Amino acid sequence: MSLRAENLTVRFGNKIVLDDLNFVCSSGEMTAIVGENGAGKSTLMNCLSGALNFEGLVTLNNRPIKSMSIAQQAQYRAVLPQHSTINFPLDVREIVRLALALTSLSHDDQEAIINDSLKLVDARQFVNRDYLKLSGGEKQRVQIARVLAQLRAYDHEHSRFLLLDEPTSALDLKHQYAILSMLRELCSAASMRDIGALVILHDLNLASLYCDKVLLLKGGTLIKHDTPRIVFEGSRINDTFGINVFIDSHPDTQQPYLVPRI
Amino acid sequence: MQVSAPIISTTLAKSSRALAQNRKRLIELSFLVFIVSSITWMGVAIGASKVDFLLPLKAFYDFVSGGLESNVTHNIVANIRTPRVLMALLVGAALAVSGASLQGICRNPLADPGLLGISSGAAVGAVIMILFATYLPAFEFAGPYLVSIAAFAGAAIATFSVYHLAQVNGNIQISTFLLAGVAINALCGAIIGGLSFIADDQALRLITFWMMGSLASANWLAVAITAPTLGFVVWAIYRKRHALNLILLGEANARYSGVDIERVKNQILWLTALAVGVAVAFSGIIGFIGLVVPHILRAISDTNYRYLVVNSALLGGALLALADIASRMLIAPAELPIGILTSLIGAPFFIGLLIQQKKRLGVRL
Repeated sequence: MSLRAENLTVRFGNKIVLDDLNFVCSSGEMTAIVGENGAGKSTLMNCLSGALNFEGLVTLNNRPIKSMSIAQQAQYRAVLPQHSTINFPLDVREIVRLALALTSLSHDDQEAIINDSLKLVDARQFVNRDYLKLSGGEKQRVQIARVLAQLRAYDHEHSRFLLLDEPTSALDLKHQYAILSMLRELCSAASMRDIGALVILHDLNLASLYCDKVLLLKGGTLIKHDTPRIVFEGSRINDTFGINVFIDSHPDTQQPYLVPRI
Repeated sequence: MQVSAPIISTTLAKSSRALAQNRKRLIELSFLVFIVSSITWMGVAIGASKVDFLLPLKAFYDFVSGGLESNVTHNIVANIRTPRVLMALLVGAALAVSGASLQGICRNPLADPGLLGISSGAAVGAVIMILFATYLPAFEFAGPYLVSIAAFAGAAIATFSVYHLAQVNGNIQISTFLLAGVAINALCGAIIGGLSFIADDQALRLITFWMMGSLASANWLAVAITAPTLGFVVWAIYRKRHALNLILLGEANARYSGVDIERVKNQILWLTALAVGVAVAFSGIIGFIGLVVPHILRAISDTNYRYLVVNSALLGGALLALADIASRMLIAPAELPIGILTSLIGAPFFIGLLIQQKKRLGVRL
């Protein structure tokens, strides 16, 4: 099962924001979407999540996303936008429970999913606190937990996709690693073979360490979509980002490790 | 994928917490029902001349035994006070539920049908109908219905104008929303003022009624029109409780979670226009109920619309019925326009909320 884009193009007026993208992301895979500011990463995310109109075709498990209702889309993919503003007092448990609001799960099943999701993001300890009083990173973890809960909210046999826009932007170092390795496990775990994740990341080393594939964008075009070892090649990174990096390899995993030159 | 939930050892603790939660909600609900009933009783028992707490029972006995016509006081109770109290409950409920749902779809606690100009729009519709339709022969029997429909139309026009004026790149900015409300309020106030002077003899009375609200003209027909309308609105909004809750996460998040956001917003706008239209048609503009009631409930109870919709209806009704009793008693035998009372309580509340928002959102407001 897969999330597939065919000839995906987006225009804002005369400006082409995404130019004829073609790629396939399979379930069981974690894909990093990387590129400089304005490369079209968030626009791509909005297309894949069905929120933005586009030319071409995006299919979710071989079904065109445009042919699915908003409620159907929610059953097959969960999305974490870059920012979420909440103006009313809600406690953490209620926030996560909202992911299950449109389902008919029993109260106990809901509680189990909520607790599991919060545990995955290391947020069990503030389950009863007021969301508005949490720190930025804590809020982000709660939002990730909500999105994870949505993945488990619906009972069906098809694969599900996670679309996360900079899920680590507010996290401390420990939680950046913790969340990404948790997501990776979620995708690769034998029992969860049918989850795929697309993650917008700015830290290329995190992408290299934790993601199976990297989707490199520049100016709305797809430069390369492959494993980190292939995508992260010195000259390509230098050209795409306009910087000078030295590519080393990580001592533990031998994955490419990017060191900027000063 | 199998989503069967794993059984966790803390199930017992969770269940007892859920139980305690449910009991708390049940106590809240019973308390609100108790308040509504006692205020209703008080409203019927308390009159301009004297207070007799057995009066409702006596009047009811006369009503059942057929002796109603012979006893003037009991007749007043049955045909003036009782519908008036019921009308206060209904109008208060309509305004509070509208406020709660408008706050939901604009994700801001400052939304209120009065502040946003919806009530004024309804009043313009009603005034126009009263002034120009009295000449129709049909007005004899269809008057109250026509006025309600016109008020609904006025409310709907105001609602959608304000809503579309406030949209910036597809998002509702609460500052523009309130400013649009100010504009619509000013325009409607001018129209009502102008129209009231066409109907010279009643001009002043009309202005007072429409701009400051009154429940003095409540009767059983008004109750019969308002009650089912409001029942429908509360039921329909309650059915949207999950969507309203999800919208609290932001429109994008609600959509990603499966809410057809545009459809829900449209439905809520029509429903609030309907509730406010009918309320205003029979009571004029009564402000701030829609602002104060959901705020109190969120503070003492829960943000969850599962409880907020029904609780708002109950507390809104109770609050307005209480305000109506006060408006009858404070300067008896004259009556204080009820809108003045609700504004006296509501405006400081609004200022408090503004300060709170300013602190939290900084320049956002």
